[in-house]
Amino acid sequence: MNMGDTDIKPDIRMVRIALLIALGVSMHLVESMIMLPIPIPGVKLGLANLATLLALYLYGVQDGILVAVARVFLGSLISGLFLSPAFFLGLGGGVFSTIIMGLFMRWRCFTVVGVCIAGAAAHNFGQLLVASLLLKSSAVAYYLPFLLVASIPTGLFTGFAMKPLLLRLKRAGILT
Amino acid sequence: MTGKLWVFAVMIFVIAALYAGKGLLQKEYSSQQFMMDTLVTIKVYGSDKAKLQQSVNEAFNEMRRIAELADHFPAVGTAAYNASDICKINQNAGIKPVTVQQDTVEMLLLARKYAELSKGAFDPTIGAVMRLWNFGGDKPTPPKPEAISQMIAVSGFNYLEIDQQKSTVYLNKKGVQLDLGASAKGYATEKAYQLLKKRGIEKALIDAGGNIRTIGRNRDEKPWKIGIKDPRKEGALIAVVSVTDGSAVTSGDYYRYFEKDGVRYHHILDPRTGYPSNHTISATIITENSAVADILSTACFVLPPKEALAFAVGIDGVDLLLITSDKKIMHTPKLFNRISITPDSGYRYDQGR
Amino acid sequence: MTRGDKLLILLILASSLLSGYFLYFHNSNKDASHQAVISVSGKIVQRVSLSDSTPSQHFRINGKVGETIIAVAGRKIRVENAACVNQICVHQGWIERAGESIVCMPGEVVISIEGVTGVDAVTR
Repeated sequence: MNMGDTDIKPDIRMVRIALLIALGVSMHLVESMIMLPIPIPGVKLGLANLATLLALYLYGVQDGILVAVARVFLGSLISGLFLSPAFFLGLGGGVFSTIIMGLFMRWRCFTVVGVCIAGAAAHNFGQLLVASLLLKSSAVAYYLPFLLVASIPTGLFTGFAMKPLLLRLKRAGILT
Repeated sequence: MTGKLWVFAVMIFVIAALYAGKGLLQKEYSSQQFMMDTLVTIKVYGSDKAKLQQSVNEAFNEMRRIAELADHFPAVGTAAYNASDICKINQNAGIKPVTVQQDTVEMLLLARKYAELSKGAFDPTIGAVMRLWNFGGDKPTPPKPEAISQMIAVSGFNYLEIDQQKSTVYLNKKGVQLDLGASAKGYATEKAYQLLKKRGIEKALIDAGGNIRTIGRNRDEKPWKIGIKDPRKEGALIAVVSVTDGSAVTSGDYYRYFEKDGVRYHHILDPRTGYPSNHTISATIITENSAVADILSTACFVLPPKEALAFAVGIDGVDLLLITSDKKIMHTPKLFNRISITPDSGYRYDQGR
Repeated sequence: MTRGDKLLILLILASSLLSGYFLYFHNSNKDASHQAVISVSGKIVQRVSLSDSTPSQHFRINGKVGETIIAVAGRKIRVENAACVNQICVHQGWIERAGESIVCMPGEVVISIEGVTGVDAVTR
């Protein structure tokens, strides 16, 4: 019979997810301070996606969504934008992007770079969708071509940042 | 590693494309106000809507300020009368110099400069003659020749004394009156332009009742297309001119006039005769400065066509397009590159000569 | 980067160009609706749609100095009668192109035609 604290098995999954959420939040805060040389509003580096992506690779779509949503909640609470339009945009874009990335992950023909690009495009598209619902106007569609094109460099950036990371994780046996 | 190079190239291309397309995402803000007896519209483009709105409001205020200084209409004793420098100067004609605002001095210096250059075809001191004609009045009739001669006797920019140092103006003969109707709008527009520029606005169009001033290019990054009205056919244009960072002002006989016994008397008088000038029906000046454009459009309307063209050519950076009373379109040579004349408009056109 | 990745990039670029074309350029070819907007002292009081099939009609508008009668005939509109002294608005006659406008200063009545136009502004 096991009693007391010797029975408590460390739940690595919970710990890792918590860390990933923390990582996502801090990335989110950092990248909102970086001004990109791209003249379109709402274009971010997508660093926070890295955390979501790791969650996806490690534990699958459900936990990926968990990390994405938690990241948006915590991030907006910290920056004081909770329940603001930006909050809903981040939520919409984040969830949609996570689902899309989870999908692309399964297709062998894409590397992590492709996954990231798809994720960035989906994130932007998701945000536009939410924005058009919030503003009750289709005028935001105006930004679509630009956001689509902008997802390429940001996706490439995150994808190439992930590559060595994934390699390391594979070597360390954490990833299959 | 060609893979990485390819990536780099794509990123550069994409960022360049985004910058190029930036123009399509500019926000537009447009506002209108009634002033100077006309409708003024200011349209600006930029990314900060609040800043656009504020800049436009400031521009309108600036234009109103100039309008108040130059207003020669208000009745004695009213607040508008007291706010008007021109009224003060007129009231003290032949009596004493009047201290005025810097802008009034500027306006009058500019007016006098071109009055001299145009040999009186434009003259800010035609106030007495204009009042006689009473174009804005109830039942205007053409004045008798004797009355006109009397008023001509108290007209002439040589009676205008300006002391820049002391900021005073003096009409040194009793009865001489200033009328800046042909120059105040242009000056106000130019001040509005300067203010918008100072606020960092890069694309704008000011339309002060047909007095056009532009900043930069339009929202599609192309020169602003300004149409010139057909003076005899409503709704039609006789030409379209491309303007970047410039002004376009037209003086025409079809806007303000009255008819008596089948004869049309319009409000652009020849200061030397006191009668409406009739050899040109429309004169458009295209140049950078709006104040200059306003003045020169009147001067070139009054000068005989060939003289007007020579006059315009002689001034740096000024282009002129005019339509003579016998239906011929003429313009300065440099206009070729940026004008397109409407075909089959009913006017004769021989390359502007 | 696999071929799949590159194809994805091209696909995104292509859809961006396509959506860009449809959003920005396609509309300027369509004949935008011609609508005249009549306003008094800055407030819109009447909208009139102008087309070849618009029947001739008259509107009475109350401006600041009195009654203004506006006439519409097909694609054209004009001020037929105004209470102002200088009658400049009446002198202007018919307007029909997008971007054109008639202004009665004393009455603060503005008739302006909306729509895509070939020029940005017109000198007067």
